[in-house]
Amino acid sequence: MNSYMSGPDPLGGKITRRGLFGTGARIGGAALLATGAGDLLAACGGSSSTSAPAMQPVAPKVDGKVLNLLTYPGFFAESAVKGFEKEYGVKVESTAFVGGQELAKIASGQPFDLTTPIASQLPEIIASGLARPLDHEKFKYWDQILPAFMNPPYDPGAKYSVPYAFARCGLVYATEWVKESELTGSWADLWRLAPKLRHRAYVMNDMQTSMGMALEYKGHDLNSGDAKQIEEAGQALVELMPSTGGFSDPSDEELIISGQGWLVPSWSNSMYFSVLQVKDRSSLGFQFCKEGSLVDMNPMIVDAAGKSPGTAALFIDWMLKPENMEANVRQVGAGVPTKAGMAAYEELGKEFPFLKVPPDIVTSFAGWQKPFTAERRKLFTEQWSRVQAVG
Amino acid sequence: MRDRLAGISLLPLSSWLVAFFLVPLGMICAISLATTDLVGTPIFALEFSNYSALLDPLYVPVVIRTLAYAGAATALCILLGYPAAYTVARLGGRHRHAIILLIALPWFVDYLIRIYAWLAILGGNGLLNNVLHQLGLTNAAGLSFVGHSYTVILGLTYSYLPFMILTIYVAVDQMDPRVIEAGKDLYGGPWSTFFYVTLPTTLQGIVAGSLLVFLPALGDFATVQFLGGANQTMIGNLIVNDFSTVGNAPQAAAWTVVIIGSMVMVLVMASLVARIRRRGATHRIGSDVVLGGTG
Amino acid sequence: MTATVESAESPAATHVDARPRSSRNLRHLALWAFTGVVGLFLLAPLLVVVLFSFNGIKSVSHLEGFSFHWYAKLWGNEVILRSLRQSLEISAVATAVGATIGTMLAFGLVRTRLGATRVVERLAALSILTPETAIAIALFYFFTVGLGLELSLLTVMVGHITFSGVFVMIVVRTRLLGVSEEVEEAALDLGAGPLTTIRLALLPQLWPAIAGASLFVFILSFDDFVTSYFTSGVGVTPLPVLIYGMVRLGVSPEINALGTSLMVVSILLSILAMSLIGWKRGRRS
Repeated sequence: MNSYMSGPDPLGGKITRRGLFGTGARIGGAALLATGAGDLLAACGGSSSTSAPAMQPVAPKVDGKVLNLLTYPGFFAESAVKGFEKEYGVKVESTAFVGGQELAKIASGQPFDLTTPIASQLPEIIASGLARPLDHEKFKYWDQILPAFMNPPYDPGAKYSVPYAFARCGLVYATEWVKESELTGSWADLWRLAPKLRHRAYVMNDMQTSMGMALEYKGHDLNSGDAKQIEEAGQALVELMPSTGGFSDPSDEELIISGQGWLVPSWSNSMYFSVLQVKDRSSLGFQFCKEGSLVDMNPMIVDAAGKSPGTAALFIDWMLKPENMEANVRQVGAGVPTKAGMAAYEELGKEFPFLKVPPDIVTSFAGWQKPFTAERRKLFTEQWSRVQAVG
Repeated sequence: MRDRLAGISLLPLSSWLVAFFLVPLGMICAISLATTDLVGTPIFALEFSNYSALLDPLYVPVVIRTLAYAGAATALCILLGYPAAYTVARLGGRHRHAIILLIALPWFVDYLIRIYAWLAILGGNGLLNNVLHQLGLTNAAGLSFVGHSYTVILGLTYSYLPFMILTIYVAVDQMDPRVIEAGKDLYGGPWSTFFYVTLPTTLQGIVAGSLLVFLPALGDFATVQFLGGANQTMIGNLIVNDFSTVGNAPQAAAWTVVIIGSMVMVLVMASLVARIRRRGATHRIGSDVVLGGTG
Repeated sequence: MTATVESAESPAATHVDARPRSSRNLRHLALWAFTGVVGLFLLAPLLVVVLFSFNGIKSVSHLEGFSFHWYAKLWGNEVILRSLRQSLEISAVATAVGATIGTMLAFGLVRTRLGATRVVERLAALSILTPETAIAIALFYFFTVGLGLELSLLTVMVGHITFSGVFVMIVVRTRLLGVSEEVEEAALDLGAGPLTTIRLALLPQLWPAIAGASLFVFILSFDDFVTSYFTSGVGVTPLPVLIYGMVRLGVSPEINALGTSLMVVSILLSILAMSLIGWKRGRRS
């Protein structure tokens, strides 16, 4: 979920990063000296040395009394966070994850202790040395994690991450204006109905998700790396955009509950929030498409640059505790592939049927968004730039 | 002695601007020529393709649209802001400062909360549609006020109108009432007095206000993000989107350099025109006021 | 427009207007009506914010019932209160430092005849006219990649001081241009030191401009999203950034309660500030 925060540029590996710091400081320094204000560099310079963290697997234990989270506001249940603070005498400080630059902030060595990045970007984060390996043995609730997620494709062996909230992408429609009979259970509905809805259909402003949707619409694999297929998908979006109301920024929920958006691609947890906020639940319909549902997740990782890695691991372990995970699932409306998490999610699914998931999503990662390769990212970016120009 | 004191007092802010404005801009220039690695890290190089990519014909409408929206918003701000600022400054009496404060009130409420309020007014099920529906003017589908070019222009106008009003207010407020009296004796009617005396005297306020509206509007992205629809992208959106797309940071930096570069060119030209004009006439034109006077 | 003669304090008020009063009144009425419409345009969204803050249901688009629920929830929300505190700290420091160095620069620009002043003026003009996003992103890379700093409350303050200082400079400079040097020269002739001269002869005349500019800059800083977002780091979430984040995870009417509270507090503070400066100074000079 929430890959609508299309991730920015985490800086490179440790060596690259240090090299870069050097270059940056030289450029900055030269410019300052050239303008005759060199003393300022000393005044505001600080240390530009980043000691490469010793990447020992981290075990849950209190090694710092302040825990700095970088995540969405309200991404963990208040009761669970409060309980953690009380149990271990730790102060949890949260920094809002709002979109765009978060990974650049982590990558630039900002000492966050724990983050919830997007799973499909995790390999890049790990390769850049930005996440700490975890000492599974020491986690009290490790066995809560579903078997498949002990070895997920985005993090083989779950060495660096603990699964957290996942969501699927589908179409939300206003039942007053889009009849169920008009829908065919396919992404093609968006392309077919958008012109009739006169700018009340929307497209998500997220490269990977929207391009994945267009690839599936064109009958290709959402993770296709084929230049021709990707171009086809880009073209399909370029053609779609003018008949829509544009990108669903800043929040698809707002468009839906305000009655502005009539056919909007949306994450299942956003649907949950939308439906909680409308007067009449039957005014909204939900469709997942037969081509796929572009599953993505925000796992929890312990940041390499953090000052209290043990506390961060302890926080993760605490969240895995069944009662806490139940509270989280109810708060976030997303699935969490732990025993208690899935139980709570299924319970929620009884009241909100669109939250029900086909089992293969959590057993074989069917329809998940896969990490980029450099080549595929370049092809996607080229096409996405074209889409943005008409967005 | 006092001259030295005045000279020293120049130092803090000017060195501040060099350190925290000029040098960072230099870094942006460097990044605009950089490449990136797999995860989007800028690697400093001499990669001019970041600039040539901007020549894609796809961006031509975006550039034209940006200029048009910013221009339209500036014009609207003058049309709405001048009479209002004039009225408050000349007729507001003792309470005019309080009234001006009221005009600045939107700034007290967070930007996003304000935009959401506009969505609540203009949205599909918004207040305006409800009123229209109650009056029997529209059907239940309502009108879509969001996602049009006029909504974006309205949003830009709303965001920057206080700048225009405040600038013109100061200009009118500082006018010597005796000048107007003299003008009235000279030209007679209120309209001719306005056009021959008040307007020229406050012109620098209008020009300064226009620059304070036009230039930030050129770089605005949030208004389109919230109130815009398809085919309404402005350059600011391209920049922000590029920065949050892995690997596109140098592209965004190139856009930034181009925008600032053209701004500097406009200002330099305005200053040259002003200098030529000044040889002939004694009054200073507004662009020079912004260059030399306002800043 | 002869409108001016209406002002009771205007020295021209004694001027006898030969025109019929009614046509002038009509003109004034039209002007005020227009101003009213402009005011409504500016304030309409704020009315909506106030209205929805008392909403009985959890909706930001439908009104139903009346309650103080969102206020209660807001004041129990530690995360929001912490952001509020941080924003206040940032704005207070940015205003104080910005006002000081901005006033100094204004003084330097007006009272020296160095060739460098033209360059400094242009630099300041460029900084105010450059899109904020560009400066914010540049600062982000400067702090992190360039200097290897940890983003903190301090880096946000640095970002805010840049625009605060320049805004204060612009306002104070305009005021300074209208202040003659004679009083200062007289004070110097009487043997006062330069600092005493500035304190006793100059600052009292500049005080309203400095105070007004400071208020303005405080508001700008408090409302700033772009710079705050790019320059904030661990444990720092200025209020506008938090609200942006909250919006992403479901808008709650709490933000309307917050908006209303901010409005009320700012109005009270402004009234206090203005009465301290003295309404009397509002008189036309």
